[in-house]
Amino acid sequence: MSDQVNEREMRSFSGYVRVCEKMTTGMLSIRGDFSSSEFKTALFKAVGTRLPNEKKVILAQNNIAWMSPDELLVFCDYAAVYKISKNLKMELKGQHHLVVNVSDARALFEVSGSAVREIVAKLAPVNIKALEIGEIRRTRFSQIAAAFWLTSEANLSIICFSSVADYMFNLLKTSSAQNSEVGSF
Amino acid sequence: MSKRLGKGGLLINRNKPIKFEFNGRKFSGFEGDTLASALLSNNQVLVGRSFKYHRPRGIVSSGSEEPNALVNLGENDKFEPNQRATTTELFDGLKASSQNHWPSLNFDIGVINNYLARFLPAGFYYKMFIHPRPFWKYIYEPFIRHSAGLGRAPSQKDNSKYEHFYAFYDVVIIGGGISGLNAAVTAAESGLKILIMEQTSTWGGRSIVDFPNIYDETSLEYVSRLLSELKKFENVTIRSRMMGAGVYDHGYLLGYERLNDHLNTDDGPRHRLWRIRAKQIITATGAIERPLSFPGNDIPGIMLASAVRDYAVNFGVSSGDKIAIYTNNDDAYRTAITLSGFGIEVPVIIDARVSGGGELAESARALGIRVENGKAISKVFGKKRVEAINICDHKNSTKDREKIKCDSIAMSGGWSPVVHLYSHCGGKLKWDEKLALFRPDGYAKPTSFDGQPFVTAVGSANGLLLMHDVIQDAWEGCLKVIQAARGKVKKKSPKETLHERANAPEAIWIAPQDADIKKRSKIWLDFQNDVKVNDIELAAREGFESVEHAKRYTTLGMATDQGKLSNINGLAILSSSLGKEIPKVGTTTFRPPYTPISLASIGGSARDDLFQPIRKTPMHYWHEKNGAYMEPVGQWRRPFCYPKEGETHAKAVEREINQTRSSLGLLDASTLGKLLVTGPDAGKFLDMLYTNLMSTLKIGKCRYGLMCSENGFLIDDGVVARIDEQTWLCHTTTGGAENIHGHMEEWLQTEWWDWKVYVSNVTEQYAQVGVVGPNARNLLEKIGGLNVSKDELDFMEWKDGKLGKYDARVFRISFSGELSFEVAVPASQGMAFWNDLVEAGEEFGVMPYGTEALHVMRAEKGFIMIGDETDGTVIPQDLNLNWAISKKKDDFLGKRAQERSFMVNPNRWKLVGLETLDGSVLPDGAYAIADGFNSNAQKLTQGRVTSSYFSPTLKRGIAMGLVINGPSREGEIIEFSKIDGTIIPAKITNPVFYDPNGEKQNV
Repeated sequence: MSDQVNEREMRSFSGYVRVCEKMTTGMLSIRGDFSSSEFKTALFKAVGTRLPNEKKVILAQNNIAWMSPDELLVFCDYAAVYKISKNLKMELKGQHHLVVNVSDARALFEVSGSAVREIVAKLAPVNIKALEIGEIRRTRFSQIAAAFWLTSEANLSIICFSSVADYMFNLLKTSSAQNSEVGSF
Repeated sequence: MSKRLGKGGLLINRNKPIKFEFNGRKFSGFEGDTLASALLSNNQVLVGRSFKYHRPRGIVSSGSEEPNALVNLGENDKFEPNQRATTTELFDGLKASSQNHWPSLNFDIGVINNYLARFLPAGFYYKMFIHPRPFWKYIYEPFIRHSAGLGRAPSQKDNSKYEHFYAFYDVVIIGGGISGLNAAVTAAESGLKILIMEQTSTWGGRSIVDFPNIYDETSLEYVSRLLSELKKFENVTIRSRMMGAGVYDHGYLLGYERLNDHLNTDDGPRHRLWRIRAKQIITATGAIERPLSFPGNDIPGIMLASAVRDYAVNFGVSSGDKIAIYTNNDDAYRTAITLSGFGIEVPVIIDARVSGGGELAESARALGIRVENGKAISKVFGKKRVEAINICDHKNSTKDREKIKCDSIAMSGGWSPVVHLYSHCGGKLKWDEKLALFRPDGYAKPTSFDGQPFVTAVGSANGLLLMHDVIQDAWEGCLKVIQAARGKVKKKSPKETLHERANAPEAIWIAPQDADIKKRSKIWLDFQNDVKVNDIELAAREGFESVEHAKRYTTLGMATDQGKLSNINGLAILSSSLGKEIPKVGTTTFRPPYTPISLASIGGSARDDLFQPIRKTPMHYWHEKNGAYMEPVGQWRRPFCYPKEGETHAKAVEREINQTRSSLGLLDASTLGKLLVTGPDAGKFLDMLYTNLMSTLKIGKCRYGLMCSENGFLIDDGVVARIDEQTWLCHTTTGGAENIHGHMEEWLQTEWWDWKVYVSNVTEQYAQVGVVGPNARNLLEKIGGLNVSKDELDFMEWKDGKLGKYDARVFRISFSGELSFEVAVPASQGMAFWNDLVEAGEEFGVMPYGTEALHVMRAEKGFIMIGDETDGTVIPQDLNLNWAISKKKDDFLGKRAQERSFMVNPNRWKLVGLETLDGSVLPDGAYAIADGFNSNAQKLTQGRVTSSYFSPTLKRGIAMGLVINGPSREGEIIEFSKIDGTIIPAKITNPVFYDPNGEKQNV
């Protein structure tokens, strides 16, 4: 895979939290049998991580998120996707699996600031107070599908489909506008 | 006159005067005033006109139950009609105007209706406007439309901001009065997550005005102590200016927070709609005082007794110089005592009860106030303002006893618990005979998903009117709620009993008791909609026995206040007219919201850019910059065409097609669905989904496939590419990607759960460009890299490799009939790739083309389009696509259905081409008519147009259509009807109009 030929600008906005779109993140969608030890071994060998628990994200050099009972999402350097994917396919040979590069199909946003939970509460029907750090939720942000997790008390990551990245950015921008703090957390 | 008093006013800051305008006149009030209190302080009692008779209307209440004081508020983009002056907090520069009058508030022509009142009884509209029939459309309706409505509609767009907020609590308490605060303090200690909301800006509810002391503190101290106790708990959220708007199934609750209605600012959101999930809800919503029903009770200056003392205590405003009190219960005596404390003259207290009041009455008497027991008001003098009253015996009104001068009347007909929120989700009520009120039935609370109660009313909302009972009930009710929400229960009972005693109220539904018809037709029930006692009686006589029917017939309780003051009085009149008991008649249904909430708050941030998500391809902005006229395709926006300056869309489409057919065109095909299907059973799976064989497709090859529902109808089509031994890439229609993905998952998860197949929707991973036209190969060769010669990449093949600097997958497929490639590159490379194609294509005169050119070109080739040639009732056989239906397969989705008798009927409408004899374009969707008529006397039909365009290639109209036995009737001329009734003859032809042998695409 060649270098990314990217024409879009990286966007950010500072309201009462900071919103930033991460343009060059590699994402790999993996499906397979979580109960198989071969699958776990392959994952460890190719991605260097263990299998995340249900609804959890392992925060490591390459974050890996549990997406469903048979689906994972690996985050890595954009340039590393090809290599990891090739290794993983090799390790999983003979097992029923799916490994597919979705780096360009997803948009990743990072939101930072002390009120990140509040921003989620404005957009997603989720009991955000109860969400633990490193716990992933697949939900909707207003009218679009999204998944998100907290990497720390002040840092939030959100992914959505790239075709609606503009909408997500505007949602986050509008919700984090100055003077719109709720202050209930 | 009503005026500001020299002292008093707990809520106002006399050091901060505020300027505002009403009907263009400049007034001043104080910080802390409501618009209503400020108007009263300026002797502006008359604030509007009633809906039907245009009668003068004055402020009646001091809260959200207000039916009369509705104003147009603000200007331009801030304009809003029907705003209650009683809940509008005053701010500097506020501008308001009164409603429903012409030419002015003081002199209103419409008041003529008032004198025609005897010709405008309940049901007048229904009886009058039915005959003669044509009058409705041309005379009655325009007239009614002209006179309907209270406030004006806004003329400008609202530019304020609104938002939603999702919140989850164990217990939500609605109402910040004494019962709400006590419940909150009790609940706070349980460790549960608690939210308490209060609709006004102040806490304590009625207690501060009604009770100088609670236990050994002043009521002010008591309330602020409870509040500060609450603030110490981290598990408690406290919000004021937030109304519980509605309670819904399973603990869903809407909180309507008004953030800057009281400020003259644009900063931040104006309203925030809290979408709350609560395990348990406590409604501590208090009670609303009822008006008394006596002749002339709608004249400005007549107010609720509680409101009169609210204005005095909270705002230092008196509603008049001489305020008479009229009551059927002890509570109104508080007003007399309060007013007397301010030095305002109370000429008389009229108590309908012969036995009179209790302790409070004694206190009033001790202050030297005249009390008349067993009396009624038989007449009110004055038109736009109360001037005097006549009093008579309550039970014998034939003789007026005395005329008493007064300029305001404080009335109290007892209290109605605010049971709205308790009732929204099915809570049942019971009638309390002793207190004459509907109260929540503790044994029939609203229940949640588990069959357990989830809404509990406490305090006055639960029908308790004495302070000690309220506090005790809040505590007891809350304990049960804590247990239900699985919190820790700490038993700490309230303090010692407060000494308080009151004589029972007497239910007075009409006063004087023997009021004759003349008096009864001057007794108002619904002040805003002008419903009087005699209207309800008429409804009952005419057979509207159900309270819901009587409501709609008379419009009782259908005004913007939803009958907060009128409903109970109205149904009491109805029940006595019907000779039934009140609980047998029952109440009308309480529906959310409690008071009107802004539509914009329901929309939240979903407006302008955020109104709906628009899906954009990587080249979206290039299209916009290059003048594309975009059309919605699913959630996507796709270029319809790229008109040049001064060019019509039709001309642009023509130009794009001609250039593509003669040299080179580019299409942004990124929106096409791309589903990756992989696994050992993927081939078997696709053979079930598609009508033809996909498992036999060779790696590197493409095949066009059809997908049907299990009922045999065509649902999607597209090109499938075999990627490797176990992997296929299925292209779907733009709008079908998500549906077909869901369709595949459904079959995999429910029917073939043991098949080893994974599906991934990779639509957005790729930017896909159609490179189309005789010069398509020349362009790709100019970009360089991958060999795309006929020998290396034949028709219906694909190849991976570098194209220039891009990671490309090139498919040699054609939807236009020309030499054509579809090139997929990673989405992030899409824009750069497109730019390179445009630049390198310059020498070939490359042109981007839009969806309309795509449609026309595919129609010229006779290719079907899902959604044009199909409509959910069309099977592939109808479209002569039998070649794409495998006969070798045992089964596929739709196979069995396609063998049903209707599906194999030889008389089905089948696909043909259509050519008008004069070359004109057939109207899309037009029907081909046949001889004869059906049973509804409609012309019989024999076919319809499914696609119709002007073909620039053939320079004539072309169309496709479905016609009975179509293919066997080639050459026959049939007639299509136009909307104007004329007929166009058209010849049935082969649907492939252009290059029938496919020579152009196969070079």
